[in-house]
Amino acid sequence: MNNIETRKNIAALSLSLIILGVAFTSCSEDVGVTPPEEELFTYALPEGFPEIVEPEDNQATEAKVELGRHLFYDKHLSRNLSIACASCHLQEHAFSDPNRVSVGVDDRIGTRNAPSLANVGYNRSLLWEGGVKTLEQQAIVPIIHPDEMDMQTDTLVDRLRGISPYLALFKAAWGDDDITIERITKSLAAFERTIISGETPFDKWKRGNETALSKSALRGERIFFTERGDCFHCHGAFNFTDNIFHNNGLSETEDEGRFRITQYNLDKGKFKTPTLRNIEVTAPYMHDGRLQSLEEVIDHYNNGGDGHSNSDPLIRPLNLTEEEQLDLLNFLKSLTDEEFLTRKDLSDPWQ
Amino acid sequence: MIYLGRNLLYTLFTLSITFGSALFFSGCTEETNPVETSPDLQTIHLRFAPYFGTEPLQLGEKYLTTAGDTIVLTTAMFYASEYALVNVDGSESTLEGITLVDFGDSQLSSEGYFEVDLKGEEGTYRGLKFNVGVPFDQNHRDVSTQSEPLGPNSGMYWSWNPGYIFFKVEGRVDSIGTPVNFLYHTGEDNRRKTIRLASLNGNDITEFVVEASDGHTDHEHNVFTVKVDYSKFFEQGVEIGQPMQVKMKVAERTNHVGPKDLADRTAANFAEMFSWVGE
Repeated sequence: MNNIETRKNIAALSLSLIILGVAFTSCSEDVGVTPPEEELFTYALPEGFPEIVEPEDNQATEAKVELGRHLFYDKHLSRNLSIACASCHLQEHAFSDPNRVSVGVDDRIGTRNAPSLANVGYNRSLLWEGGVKTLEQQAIVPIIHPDEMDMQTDTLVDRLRGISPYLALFKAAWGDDDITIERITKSLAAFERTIISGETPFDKWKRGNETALSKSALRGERIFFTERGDCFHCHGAFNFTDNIFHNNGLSETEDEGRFRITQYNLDKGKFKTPTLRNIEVTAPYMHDGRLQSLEEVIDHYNNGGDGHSNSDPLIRPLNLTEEEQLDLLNFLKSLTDEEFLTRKDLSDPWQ
Repeated sequence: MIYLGRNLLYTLFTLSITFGSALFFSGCTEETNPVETSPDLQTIHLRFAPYFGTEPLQLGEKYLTTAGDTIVLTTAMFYASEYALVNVDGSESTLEGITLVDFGDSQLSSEGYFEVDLKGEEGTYRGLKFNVGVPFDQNHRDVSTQSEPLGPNSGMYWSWNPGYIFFKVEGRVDSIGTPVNFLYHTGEDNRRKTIRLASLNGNDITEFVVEASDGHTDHEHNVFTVKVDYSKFFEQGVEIGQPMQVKMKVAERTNHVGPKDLADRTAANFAEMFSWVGE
């Protein structure tokens, strides 16, 4: 091939690549804003944690996360300015609620205990019955729910337009200061994906620090991860959850859990397995907050549950001795990430 | 070898132009919306006329069901979407639009009709069809990206199980003693029902004519009326031969997904309510 021939070919190839390039870029602009590479948020992932998967149309940036954090801690999101996301997801409780069930505007009482948001970006579904697939779609649930924030989205947008710090925050996050409900829910979701917790005594022990766990906690670890306690079947893997739905033998109430979504009889009384990370600080326990302490929880499982007709086959009397129960408790307490409970990048930016 | 190489590159070049252009057009056509600008489309005035049997329906008034219950309706809403004109050869011409029909709306016409304006080409058709419900794609899209008649403020969105209520029928049985409330909110993709209006059976072709109106959008041309008979909604209950809401029965309600049998029945009954009045 002579030089001229080669040059022609290269020119033809370049031209075709440019055309392809034009076709691609012009389309991606229609789909959504893709932030420049250098602005993308870098997640501080603990060792052994998988990558956070973001939706293609909501990649996180520092500015978007910062806006989301401001929204998360802002009571303007509720009709009467009384409730923020953080009102039921308290950082010192690993972003869970110490109340049995959530309390919304005008002291309206919900039916569920607000779960911890630790590592929520890894969840395959949201809410206790798992009906919502993305954090973006979840974010609007408490905003418009009459027993939670009871807010009209148009009212919310108008209200935020009158709060001057938001103009700069939205501009930094989205390129201009237009405030929309879509940008609000997407920014909240982006912040929530940064709520990552994985620096516990248990993690340190896993990485080779042999003194990070007490002898009792180590014995508890063996109960937890073997058929003795059988906890790991549902609370396994790096985030101590299988991310699916089980009936753990709680006595029946009106709340039929997963059945609400599927209308499938075998789903009656099933709820999503929660993470056990930071479980020591997320009392009360279960979807309806019916159990006040970890001792009560261990009792529940040790007794083989309350005898729900749809109990998971794994739920059975365990006959753990008192010492074994204490060991298990100590192991659960080794799952607390102390730094996470006060980390500045996750705390209230308005203070 | 030289020629082969050159031909290969030439092919690549041509391919990439073709492929590139295809991508360009397929990926971006949504932005330009040629339908809006077409001058040949006529306005079709579709009027949903609420009835209870032979009587025009008014919310808050009492009506007698075939089972002998006196009932009052307080809410009557539904989504109509995926409208299409059915051509003489059976093919369909899609019409843009999704409507939240609300018979409690203050915008009802003086006759109590809910009016919808659609755009379609003039011609003779076998009839018109639409779905009760929200199309699958819009039913599951992030609600914060949607606006009226969809969206978080539509009053029809279920946030905990993302999707829309396709129809609401609310009211009370008022026959005896303490009124018993009923509340049917039904949705989910498998309960989206297609309604076919005018003569679509056999080879009988109805003269369903959309005429040119010389640019007028007044209500004298292309006015079509659909009777929506709520008495049909209460005729058949979950148990075969038993009506919805019989006397003294506990309050019935559905919530988007369940209870399944009742929700399925409400959707089937709802689809029976529509009939063609014609022009």
